[in-house]
Amino acid sequence: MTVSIRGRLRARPVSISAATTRSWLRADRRFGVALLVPAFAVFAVFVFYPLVKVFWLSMQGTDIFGQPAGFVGVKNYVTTFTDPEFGRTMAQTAIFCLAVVSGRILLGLLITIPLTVKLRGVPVFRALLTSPMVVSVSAASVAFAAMLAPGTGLLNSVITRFGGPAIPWLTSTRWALVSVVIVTVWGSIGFTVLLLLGAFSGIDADVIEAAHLDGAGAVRTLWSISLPLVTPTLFFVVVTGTVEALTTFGQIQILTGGGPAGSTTTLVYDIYQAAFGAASANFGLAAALGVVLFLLILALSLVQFGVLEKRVNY
Amino acid sequence: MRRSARSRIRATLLYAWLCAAVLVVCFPLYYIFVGALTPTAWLNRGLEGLIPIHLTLDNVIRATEVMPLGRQFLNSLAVTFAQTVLQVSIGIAAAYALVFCRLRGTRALFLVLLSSMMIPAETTLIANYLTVSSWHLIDTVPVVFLPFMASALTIFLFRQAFLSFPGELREAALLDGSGHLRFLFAMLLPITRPTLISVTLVSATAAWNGFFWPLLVTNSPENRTIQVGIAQLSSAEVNDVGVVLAGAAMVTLPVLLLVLLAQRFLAGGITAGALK
Amino acid sequence: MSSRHPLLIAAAAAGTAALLALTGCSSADSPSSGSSSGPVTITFWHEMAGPAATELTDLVDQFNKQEKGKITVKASFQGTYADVQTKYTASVQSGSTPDLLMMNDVSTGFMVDSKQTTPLSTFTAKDSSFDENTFPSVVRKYYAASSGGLAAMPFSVSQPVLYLNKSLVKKAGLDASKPPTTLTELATWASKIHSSTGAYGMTMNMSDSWMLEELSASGGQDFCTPDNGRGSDRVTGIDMTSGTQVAFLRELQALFTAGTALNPGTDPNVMTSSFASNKVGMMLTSTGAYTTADPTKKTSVVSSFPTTSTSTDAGAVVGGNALWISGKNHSDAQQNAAYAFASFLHSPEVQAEWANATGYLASNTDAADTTVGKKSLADPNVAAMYKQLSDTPASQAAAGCRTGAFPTVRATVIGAFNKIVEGADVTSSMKAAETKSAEQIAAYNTAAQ
Repeated sequence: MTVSIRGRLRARPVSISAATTRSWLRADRRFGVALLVPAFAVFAVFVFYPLVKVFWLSMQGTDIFGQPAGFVGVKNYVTTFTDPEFGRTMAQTAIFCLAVVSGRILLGLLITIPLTVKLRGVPVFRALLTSPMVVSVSAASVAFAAMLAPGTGLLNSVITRFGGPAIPWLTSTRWALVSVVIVTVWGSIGFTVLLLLGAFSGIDADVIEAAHLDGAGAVRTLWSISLPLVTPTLFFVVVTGTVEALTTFGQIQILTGGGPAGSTTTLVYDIYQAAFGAASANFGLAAALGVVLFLLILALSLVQFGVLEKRVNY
Repeated sequence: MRRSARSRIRATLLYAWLCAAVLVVCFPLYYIFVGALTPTAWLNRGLEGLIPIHLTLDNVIRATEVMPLGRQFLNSLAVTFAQTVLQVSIGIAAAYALVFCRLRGTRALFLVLLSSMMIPAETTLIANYLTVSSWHLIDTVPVVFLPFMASALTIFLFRQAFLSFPGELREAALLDGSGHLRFLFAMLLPITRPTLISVTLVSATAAWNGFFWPLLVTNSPENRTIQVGIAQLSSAEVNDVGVVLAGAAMVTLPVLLLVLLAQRFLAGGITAGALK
Repeated sequence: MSSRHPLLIAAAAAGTAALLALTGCSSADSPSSGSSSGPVTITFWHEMAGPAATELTDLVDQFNKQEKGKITVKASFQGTYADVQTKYTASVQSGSTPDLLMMNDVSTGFMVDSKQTTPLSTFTAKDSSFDENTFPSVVRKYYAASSGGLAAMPFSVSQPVLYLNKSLVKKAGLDASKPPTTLTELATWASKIHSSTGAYGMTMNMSDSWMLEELSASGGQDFCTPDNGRGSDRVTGIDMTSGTQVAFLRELQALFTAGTALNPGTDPNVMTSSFASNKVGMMLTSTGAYTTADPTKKTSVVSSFPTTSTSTDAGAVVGGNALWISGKNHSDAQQNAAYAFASFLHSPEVQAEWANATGYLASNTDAADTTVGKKSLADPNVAAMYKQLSDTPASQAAAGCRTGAFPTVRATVIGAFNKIVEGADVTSSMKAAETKSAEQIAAYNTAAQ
């Protein structure tokens, strides 16, 4: 007999009979339920209950300290959807997601493909080019904030030295979102390259060899063999990258605070500002915006699981 | 001959491209670490200030004087440790139950789990904030990891690994009379070790990098995590670039070391977990 | 006033729990321990960074040493004023407000509406050593409580001023001893500096709409309607499209679109460091920026804030911050300790020190007679700041606006201004901001009921 919880619960010699199997099963189930309790307790308290509560909050008014102050029906939703700035926020969110995801895919491929060529020193390049992975959002943002600072920043001092015009990276409504996109793409490029490297290395070498023997050049092989074979990974990057971009917060908070003139306010930042922004504490409005975010992510996840279902074994 | 000349040109071009990519991609990292060790007076001179010839620890010392970064570093370590250990052990337990305990309704339970992955933390955050605030936990260290003690993704990844565990081995273990715990620790975990390591690394990195929630639920500098600490350092000392970068370097160094030590597992585990 | 006074006050006030309860202030429902004679530790939240933070830490240490065994003040930097208001809101929810809170000028309306603090007048009424006349009259007016007396202890007083970079001004062939007095003159100077030195001609604090409010006041215009909230009615809207306002906005717009003015973004520290490193010729911002803008006190000339019209109501609104003593959920011992520390910070010596170290103006007029105060006033730049403070008329425009929605409204107005400096139409941008602000104020007024 071994030491096990089942053993301790009911010490019983092992013999395979119908009765023991049944009692095993019962013990198994009891044990299994016990194992599931912590996880589902956490999810109940911190995921499912708050989701319900957010729906409830979204129909509540708010006092100046953010406490619910009575049922207001769909007022918060009406406020949200009739505010012209909400349309702008959603447009900016879409542009931001699109730019970040396409930036990640494009740069990711441009960096990864040369790394799949057998050359001396490639492992070193791999390590270097995936290194941004180690930098957290907040470290990356404070470093870029210093580099892009108006007046004193490093980047402008380099540009102006070569005779270029100083660019108002973080202070102009035209550039601020671009800057946040740059920082976000930089921050996620390491991980993207890592994923793509995994995908490319998973391609059967024989397939490539066969293509070469058929007289296909490197570019052609890449275009019609390798790329189609890594599309699952590309798709994965697109979906998770979109969700990640949609929920971006740190970069915006540190670099621009949603400004100037709201030009870098995305949906998630809008939630933050409604609930915790300067003198706002409007939790009802923030909850309504949170519901909008939830529905967006739900739609995306359904797409993801729909397309990936065949690959995910359940 | 022409072929080798062409391939040499091709190699040269590839190298040139890769070097350019390294220059752009790695410059911010270089900036963080060299800037952290260079006096701001030099940094303000532009690019030439970044030649690492004026190295000093002054920025780091000053950064820790302005913000209790040491304390915040320990807070982050504590949060990361607790969150990772809880996520991994709760994750193993739940995945084990789903795969090996022949529960009825496993599929339904699993769908509930999957659905929780579709609920963004940014949506539930407002309600969670009100919850922990009603428990008087605002501005404490444990509240930083409290809502993240379990992660659906972790359970999902462990489940994937456990499902691919050979059925014959499991049968053999049962016939041997080994109980659940013995089977778990003596067979299952050693065999799924790559997943265990990579999931642990992913959990730990996520815990270390947390920003939004820690920002909301802590107030006092001594209860902040270091990620929030350096963001505050950056707004308090915006004129002193070196000090700001010293903070960024302090945050980055542990992860850099960890990744250097475990890059193999990180790469293998994430891609395997994501796409199996 | 001797520095021993706060001690006496603390001792005397410790036994006045009954009185506090009688006055009907919120401390009545606090879990008060009454006459606890043990050492009291109080938490103090502030927003000071840079040299001001260093000086404040020194002052806290000084107080803690002086009150050793009786009161310990635990001071902590909590971020920008906007951050702190958010956190304060959160701390009200969780019942963990700091004992003493430093809050800026524009949050006065919110702090009053929050009903979480004990009005300063509750303490000063029992403190015979306290003299309300030690505050400049504009300051007293700004922080007046509706019940009479002061709502909070004014700590830092600032004025918006014009800073000139001596060397850049000289290079442009201009005379820093005859600085521009109107915004139009300032614009001419800025263009000259920009064209002849290549540096930016001017910059201004754009972290919020404060400078625009000041430019309105310096044209005799109210920023909020009705009556800047100083009458009997709550503020319901803002005014940013009067003739004077549109005119100065257009003038600024021209400077920014021509590349003459530097947009420093939301971080005022970026602006001061650009000025200090000779990248900008002139700067409109708080007197509080003096020590960071000109650490040697030799490279700049400080001059009075430019006017935008010749109205007799024209003047500058005081800025700065005040100290609020938490009432609800704070024991009398804690409240009295907080008052003791606040009074310590108001003493002439401390105010003179504070003003000298930060560039804020002393909120105690007696500070001028202290050794440090006299030495500070020898600096013509500092003298210019005090002159502006004493020249300010007690007009409604110069009293400034009071609404709890102020911080939100500021974000809206500076947002519109950010578009204007990039060339957007002045009137329509500000009209949109007025509409949005009115909605925000209405929402706030509903929430505050």
